[in-house]
Amino acid sequence: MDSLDRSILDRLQSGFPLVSRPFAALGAELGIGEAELLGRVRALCRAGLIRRIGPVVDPAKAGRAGTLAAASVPPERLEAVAGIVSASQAVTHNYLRVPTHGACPYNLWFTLTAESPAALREAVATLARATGLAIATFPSVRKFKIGVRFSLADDAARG
Amino acid sequence: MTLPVDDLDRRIVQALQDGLAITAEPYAAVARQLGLATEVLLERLQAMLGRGEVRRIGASLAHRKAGIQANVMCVWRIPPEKVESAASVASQFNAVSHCYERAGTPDWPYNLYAMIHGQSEDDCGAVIRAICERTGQSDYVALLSVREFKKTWTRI
Repeated sequence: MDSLDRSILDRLQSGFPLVSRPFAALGAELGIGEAELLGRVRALCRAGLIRRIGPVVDPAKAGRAGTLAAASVPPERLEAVAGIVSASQAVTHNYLRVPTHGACPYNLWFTLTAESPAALREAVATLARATGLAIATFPSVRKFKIGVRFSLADDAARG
Repeated sequence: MTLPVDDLDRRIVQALQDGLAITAEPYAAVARQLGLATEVLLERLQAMLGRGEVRRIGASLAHRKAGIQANVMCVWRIPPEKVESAASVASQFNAVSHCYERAGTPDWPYNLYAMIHGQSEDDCGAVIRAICERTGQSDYVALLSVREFKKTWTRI
């Protein structure tokens, strides 16, 4: 990955042009031709750096319900439980997390979205039944920042 | 109940949500498939962006592969009246991608959540310490992501 690839990844994360030839428009911004940009983007997709280019739906504004959830999974059951959780259509993210500061009763953290609050409750209840574990939910009260754009060109940790 | 996203908008998002084709005219192919003029599809998408139903149109990256290796979910326990100012401090950091207030429980009384990304665990730790310093809040738990079992996007 060279610096042009990093610039492409930075630029591609949001504001993908809504014009009939978006790669030509983006290429013009980046100072390269449409064909070169298409070739590089295809290579970045093949390398697995780009998962997809598409619309990122705001679950709440699209009328969906969502929550963060967590469970305390015994280590010997981790693979099986994580597999059950990931298999749920409602689950979008699922991570094993360990505390590096402080203590935490939960180790598996995941997010769910569903068509309605009732469907969300049902998805959580289904996972609790399927895993035999209690699932704690932590719905958001206020969202202060929902951007997910990362600069690859700069130090990502700089304040 | 009427959902904010109407049927045509929903069909447009459904046709695009698994990814645009990496071709010169990716919208035209989808518009044909839906029996729409490309301009109508683009206008609809623009309107969904304007209403916030679509947050952005862009690439979803595999951050680990792209060199952003470490991800820490940091949670603070903060008095309710101080949440807003602490959140505004945390949100100013580029390394913070998400910052939410969430309801605490007796077992887990933490109420401010920040998702922190960096090249390393140490990078994330430095950001956390800076947030603690600037907010004066130090009752926190840092949760490092050690395995990613699933990472996808909301499909409608």
